[in-house]
Amino acid sequence: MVNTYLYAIVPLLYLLCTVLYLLHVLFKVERVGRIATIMTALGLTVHGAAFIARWLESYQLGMGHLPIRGPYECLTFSAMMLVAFYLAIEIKIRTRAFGVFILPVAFLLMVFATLSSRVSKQIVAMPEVLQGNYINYHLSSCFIGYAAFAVSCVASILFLIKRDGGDAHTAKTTLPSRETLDEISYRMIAIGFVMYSILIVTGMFRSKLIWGSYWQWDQVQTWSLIAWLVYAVLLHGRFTWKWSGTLTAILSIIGFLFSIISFLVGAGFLFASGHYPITGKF
Amino acid sequence: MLSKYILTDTDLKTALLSGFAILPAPMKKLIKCILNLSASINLTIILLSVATLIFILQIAQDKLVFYFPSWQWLSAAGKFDFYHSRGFFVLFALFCINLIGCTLKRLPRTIDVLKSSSKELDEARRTSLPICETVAVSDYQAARQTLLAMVAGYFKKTGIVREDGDSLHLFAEKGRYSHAGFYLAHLCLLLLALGTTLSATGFQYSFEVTKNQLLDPLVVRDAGRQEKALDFSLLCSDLKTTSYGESSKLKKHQSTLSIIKNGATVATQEVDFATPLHYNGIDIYQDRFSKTIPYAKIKIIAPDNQQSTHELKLGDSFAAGATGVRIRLTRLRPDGVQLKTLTLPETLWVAQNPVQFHQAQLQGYQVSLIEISQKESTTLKAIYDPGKGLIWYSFILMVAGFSICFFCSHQRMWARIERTGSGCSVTLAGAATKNAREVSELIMTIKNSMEYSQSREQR
Repeated sequence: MVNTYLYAIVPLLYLLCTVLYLLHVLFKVERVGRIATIMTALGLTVHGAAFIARWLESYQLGMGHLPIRGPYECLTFSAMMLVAFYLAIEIKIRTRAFGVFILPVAFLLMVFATLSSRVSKQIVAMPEVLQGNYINYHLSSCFIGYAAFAVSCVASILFLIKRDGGDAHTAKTTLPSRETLDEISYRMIAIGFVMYSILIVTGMFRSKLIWGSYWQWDQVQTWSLIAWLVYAVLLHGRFTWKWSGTLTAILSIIGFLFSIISFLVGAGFLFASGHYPITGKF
Repeated sequence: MLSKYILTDTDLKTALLSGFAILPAPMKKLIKCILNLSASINLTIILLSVATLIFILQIAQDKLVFYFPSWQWLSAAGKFDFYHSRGFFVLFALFCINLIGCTLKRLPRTIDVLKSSSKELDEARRTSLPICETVAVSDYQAARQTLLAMVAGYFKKTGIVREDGDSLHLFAEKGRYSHAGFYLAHLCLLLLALGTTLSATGFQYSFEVTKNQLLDPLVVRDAGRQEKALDFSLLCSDLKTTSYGESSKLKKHQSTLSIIKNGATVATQEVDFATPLHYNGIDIYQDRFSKTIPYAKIKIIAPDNQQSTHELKLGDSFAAGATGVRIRLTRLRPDGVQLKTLTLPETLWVAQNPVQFHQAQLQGYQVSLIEISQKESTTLKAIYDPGKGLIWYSFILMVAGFSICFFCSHQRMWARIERTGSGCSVTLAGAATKNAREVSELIMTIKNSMEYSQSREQR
């Protein structure tokens, strides 16, 4: 299987990128930073190639589904989205220091996915409820949303750590300014919120088909709604009361914790739920 | 002609205000207070926070009590089903009222911004704008050209409002309709809620059908659990199971269904879990797996020698002649079946020899078993969902609304060039609903460019 070889290379590349970003931040060598960016782009390309290879191989095996089902595919897809968001941020705001915090997360997700004995790497046949394009929209919006919220959470933690009056983002090798971190956090929440809205409503349609009603107060549905509500509070506060800074950073972290709970419930690690979209058990 | 019958905004406002004026002072105060509260963002945030907390307590009370034993009181609260209580209804109603209130409250401000009468940068406007820069230059024409080129480059149009020999007033904007995002998102949230409410008036009914069976007519149970015969028949002509490749893992269960109306086939389709057969607002889906189940063929002879046969699977029932008594098949063995009347708890084992019930209403009726056969059967479901279209379109518009809200910005820029003695003064001002930094950067770029040209000229 080509995809497993390619997926095995990806964590090594992300580890290398993490080390390069760290060296860049510690020794402030511009060339190392540039190499780190190139390696991250290469890592993302290999990751994308692995994703496409797995997709094609699933068709060769007669199963034919977008590889975002099952714990292995979910974790690797989330890591890919995380790195894609990071690269977009790096290009947009021209800061590399953020990579020191995002790349290790992507690396750990990939290591867990590829090395954990609890995660099967096999391409498995999906039950009827997890087939079709409709579930692709549901699951892809889910993991793009998680990745966006994860980046927002990291930006919020850095915002809380970074002190006022520190070196602003003029120095590319240090952390971005608090204002930039706040802006990154907001933009990622905006993307994540749209994705989460798609996730919840597409889930409602599936719920109607499976259980006969749009809303079941199922554990996964409710935890996702709770995370959505927390982000809704944050966005309303930000738009109307011009909330920013510490309060939005704390809310962003809380919102991410709830979305993680929803993920863990969906993966069958926490609470009993009527559906496990990630593990494919219904 | 018609204009005298049309109520203008001013008339409406006057009428409402005069009606409001005759109310007693405490009533006025109360109405004002309610209106302000219903349109308050404080209420929005309180409602969202309260809902979040209640949902957490409802869903995680077991774990919370386990990890924090002092929270034992939550166990009692956990028995209370909030989702189906009046409290939930009140919370939901308040949320809808608040959504409408906030939307209406914001409307005049949005109209003001969109109808912004003065596109000229007068002093009152200049002081009210968050971004404002002034630069003094000597060459009017050069400043004019730089300004027009840079504004046209960013806003795709020059936007000259007024120009005479001594002054130029310019106004340019983009993302004018980004305000619609807020209304779209909020309206669609309400429509989503309305759609799910409408959906509750529909029905979802699962039923079993055997291969080649004609359900004439198709009988379902509606939202009130009442049996309802639909105005068409359903024929299941084939049942199919697909596996993944050569493995035995099941991929799909499919049924070939036909809708028959007035003796003619009006629609035929292969349905599966996600592909329904649509007819007359009703969607028929494949529900559960196909299987082979035993059927018993029962013959019943009335006292007047009228005969009827019924094919039943376990749990099915039929009416015995004109008596109105229903008889259900409760057990099935290779050599016989057990029947039970629904009115009285009388059971009867039936084999091939005719037997009789002892009930008075069934006196003279003889029941016998003709045969037991195996039939391929599957479960289908008929769904009538009047809210589906509304939910679907609201969802698409809601996502569009959120996207416009978060990613589009109404950016406006005003500029004024005035001759002053030997040179001229350029005033640049701008505002943006989001991403004000972009407008600020544009204004600074124009200013720097003019200052750079000025310094080059002086050299």
